[in-house]
Amino acid sequence: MTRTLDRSVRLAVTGLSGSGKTVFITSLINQILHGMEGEQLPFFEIVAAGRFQGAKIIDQTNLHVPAFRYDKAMQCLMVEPAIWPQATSGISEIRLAIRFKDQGMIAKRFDRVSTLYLDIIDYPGEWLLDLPLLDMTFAQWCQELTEMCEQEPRVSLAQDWLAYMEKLDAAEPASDEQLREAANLYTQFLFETKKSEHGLSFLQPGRFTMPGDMKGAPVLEFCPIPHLPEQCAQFSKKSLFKVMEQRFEYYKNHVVKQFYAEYFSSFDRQIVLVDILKALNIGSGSFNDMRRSVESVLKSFQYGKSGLFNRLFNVKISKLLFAATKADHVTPNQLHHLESFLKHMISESQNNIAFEGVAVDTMALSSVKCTQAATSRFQGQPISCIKGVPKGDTKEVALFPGEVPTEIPTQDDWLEERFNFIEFRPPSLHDIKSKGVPHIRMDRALQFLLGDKV
Amino acid sequence: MSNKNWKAPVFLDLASLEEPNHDEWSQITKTHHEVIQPRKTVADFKQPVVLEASSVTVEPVAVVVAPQTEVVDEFLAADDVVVPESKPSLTPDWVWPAVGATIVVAMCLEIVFFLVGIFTEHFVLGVAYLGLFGAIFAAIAYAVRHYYDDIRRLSDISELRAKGEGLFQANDFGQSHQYMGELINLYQARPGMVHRLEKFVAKRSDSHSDRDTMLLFSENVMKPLDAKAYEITVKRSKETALMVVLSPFAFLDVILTLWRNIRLIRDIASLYGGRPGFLSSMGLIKKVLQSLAYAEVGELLADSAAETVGGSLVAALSTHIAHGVGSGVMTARVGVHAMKICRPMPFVQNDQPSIKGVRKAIITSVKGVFDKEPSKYAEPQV
Repeated sequence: MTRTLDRSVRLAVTGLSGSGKTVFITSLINQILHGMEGEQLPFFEIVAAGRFQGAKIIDQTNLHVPAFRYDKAMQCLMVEPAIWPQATSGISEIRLAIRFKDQGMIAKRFDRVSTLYLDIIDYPGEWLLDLPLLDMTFAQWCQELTEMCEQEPRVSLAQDWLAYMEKLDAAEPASDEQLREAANLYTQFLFETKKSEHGLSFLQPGRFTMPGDMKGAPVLEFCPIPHLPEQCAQFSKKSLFKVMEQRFEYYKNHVVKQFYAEYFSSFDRQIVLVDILKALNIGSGSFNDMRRSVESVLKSFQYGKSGLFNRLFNVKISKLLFAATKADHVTPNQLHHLESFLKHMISESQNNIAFEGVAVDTMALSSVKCTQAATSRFQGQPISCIKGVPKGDTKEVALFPGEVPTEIPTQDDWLEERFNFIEFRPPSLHDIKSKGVPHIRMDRALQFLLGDKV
Repeated sequence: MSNKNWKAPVFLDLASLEEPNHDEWSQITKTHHEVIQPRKTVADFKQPVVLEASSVTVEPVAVVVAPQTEVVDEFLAADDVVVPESKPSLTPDWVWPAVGATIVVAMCLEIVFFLVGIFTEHFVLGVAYLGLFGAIFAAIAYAVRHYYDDIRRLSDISELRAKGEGLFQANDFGQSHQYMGELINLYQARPGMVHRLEKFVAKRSDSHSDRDTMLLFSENVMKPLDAKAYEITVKRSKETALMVVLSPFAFLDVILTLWRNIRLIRDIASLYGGRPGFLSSMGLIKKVLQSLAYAEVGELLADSAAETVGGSLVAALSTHIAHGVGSGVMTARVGVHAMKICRPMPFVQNDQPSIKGVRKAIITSVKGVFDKEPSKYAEPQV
């Protein structure tokens, strides 16, 4: 009886690399573990109504998956001065048990305490972009990349690789050396575009920049072939094209599919984290790239029966939350700008998903709130601003961080150095033991994701 | 460049900052009253600017000077429809004051003449009458003063509610500070409320919008008051229903219903902090009746539909009982509208009170009377 009434939720935390997945998960766990205090989560219903009865990290069910090191991440935040936890380089998993007073018809009668098991997995955001590959042939992929590499900033960054590929003939057999060198140059190009000054996010295949346990495996030694000749299908079996294609297919079938089949099936809630401010900071190229990445990832996550992802892995996601992270980097009165900007950015995908009967919401949140809201006067006008310690600095500053646009910027809007949202250091949390980490709207996110299960 | 005017970052001096200070809430007085009106912070600049400490003046957060908007009747405030003025009445405005003044002057003169007459007859008698009249005047003056206090307090409450509505609609950030201070002021003297207020202050964070803050306050501070008000409503409705069922003739029904309703409205107003006296509760009653008259058609339909369907069942038993239950439901409706009018913070979420559960409670209690009574008489026979 007790067992059957317990519930479980598997939460997929998705987000491009650098969008703050690890910090989000850390904060989420922290908030839940400190739910008993009740002060930090006023908009999480079970906590606000006093039905929350405690939570605990318990042993995960998949023992072969590395555990998410919540303790390590918290340690990073709790040292003085605090640092951000390391970015994820592999997959990890964590399981939480949340005890609460049940409000169900039968359970309420017996004043029963139920348990909700919450499974969360963390994995490198880079791998997410492998999903769109599943729907493509090698030739199509080459075509797409050729087009992409005709535009800045990719043209200049890809120079070395393009020059090398120029020398190779797709129809002729290539030596192992040549293959390795081509893949190597391509990987370097990907790493170059990923650097913070370029901030591109549409980097395929994902394992190239974040190999996980596959470093140096031959399956990663391939690359797209720019300007592929039309008659490539008739090339001989030993030709460069065929070899590359074979490896590409192997990558798709044995790396990508396997990963998603193993971890992403049986998920029922998903949160997609998007770092809008970073993309805005770097400029039009980075922003458009991010937009494209998010769109293509969402496309492969097609939520209805017809969707590719669903067809392959039989996932039944019933709630999807889009979250703009790092909401503490703007003044609080701009939170809804951030929200509506995100809404604009993904409106098309959101419509499609909502049409399939999935509950969709957008939200601006901050997993760990690094700044404080304040007001001041500037040129005689009252102005709201934020106060915090910038990344790589030790002195506190107060600033009005600039405005978040509510609409997608047109090409003209990028001319000036318009957006300069400053990154902040995590707040000093070394005495936080008795309280949850400060946050913005994590309680609302929890309510949306878990509210109907408790 | 497009005409969209997004603003660039500006660095400010740390010393110039002013964080909203919760302690200040306990010191806020009514003198700040006219300051609140939601407004946006305007700033027109493009380049990042670092400010010098000397050039920056700090202003208290709470003081936001904004133009006062005109006050619209609360039941019309919901829409912007312009209501055409009714035809000017034929009697000029000054007629009634003039009539009143004439009567008052006549009375005063009459009293003076009467006193003069008494004094000429007998000094001691005159002094006694003078003393009596003085006492009466003093009593009247005292009553009038209280009446004005009551009126002030009630209008404060409705002003607060209007403010709250504006803030909630605007959904701005940082403008609700003053409003919250006034609400805290209203309740902090009440026993049992302090820890709820403290809870609210603890839960509030600087990233909450005005709407979030109001929801928090509603959830943490207003909720128990709402529950209590609802309890009173149910109790009074039951009483009314029972009295009407048991009353022998129709005229008594009317008197009883009226009495219980007035009592109910006054109870609810006191609960939310209005504490009306007898005279000022008349104004309140008028407002409640207006609110009832303007109640949404949908709400009315839902109520009446329930009444017809459920009522026919009771009516089959007895028209008198049905009448009683009807009066009870009516009382409950008055109570719900009184709650809407007397609450200093408007009902904003889906926690709007409704009379759904009341009718069942009334029927149960009426039934209880008839179930018990026969059994009382039946017992000795067994």
